[in-house]
Amino acid sequence: MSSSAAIDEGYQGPLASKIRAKLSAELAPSHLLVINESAGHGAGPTGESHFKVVVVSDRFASVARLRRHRMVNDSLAEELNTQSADHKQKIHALSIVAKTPEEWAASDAVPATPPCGGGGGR
Amino acid sequence: NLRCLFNTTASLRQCKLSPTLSSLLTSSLSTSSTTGSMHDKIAEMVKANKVVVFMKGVPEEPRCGFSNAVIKILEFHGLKPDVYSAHNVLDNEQLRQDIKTFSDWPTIPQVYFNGEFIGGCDVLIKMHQNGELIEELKKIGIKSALLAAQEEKKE
Repeated sequence: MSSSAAIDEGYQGPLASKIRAKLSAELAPSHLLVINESAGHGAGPTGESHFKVVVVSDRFASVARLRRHRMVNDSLAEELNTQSADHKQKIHALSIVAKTPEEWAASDAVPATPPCGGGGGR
Repeated sequence: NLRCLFNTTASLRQCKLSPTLSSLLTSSLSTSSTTGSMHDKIAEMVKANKVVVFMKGVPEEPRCGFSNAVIKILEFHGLKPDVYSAHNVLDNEQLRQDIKTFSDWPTIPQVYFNGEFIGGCDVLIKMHQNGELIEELKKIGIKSALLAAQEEKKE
């Protein structure tokens, strides 16, 4: 696990910006990390296919974990839609950490993502 | 009678057909008469076993780190491939797309317990780490191997 202070969000291109904008607008996070985990998936240093998002928002209070993840997915529905013609500019794998501010204060550790081994998340 | 083999994908797995053959049989069942959507078929698949996983690759050889993590967690709790159903979305493009709309969940892997969508890799990892998974398995009548191990230590 990494403490949030030590986390490098990696290359932040247009998709990362969209993710950030959508999550900010939809979930009003008090803390947001958009971590590009695309390295090693073949698209080079500017690849944007695999992401981990850490979203801290009081909108998650009293919301079950699965529902929280659905809220994040719904916010990023367009970016997750790889059926469109521009599927190469879409998210192919998404890891989600969704916490309330209280939970984040108690623990800001971000779990490591399982190593890919190819194939992505979609 | 071959017809009864065609009823559920779970029964195909339990018959220990080779992955290629079982996926061929699955594909031939896949399209519904009108829209081509597999939703009706998927509705059956998720109820066919206590634990149903939609993944990339097969439990013996997952083709993706997230799918691999899910399988490893289930195995860690003592579930063997013959007591859960695993469906390889890489063998069936229709399934790969329709499971996402069926579950309203954009990524693979996807885990179902007793026909209810549980989540993907992140959710399963979290449940495993905080002990929830042992409880959820208990609710569907599966005793986690970790629970058995804990009880053994107490004796």
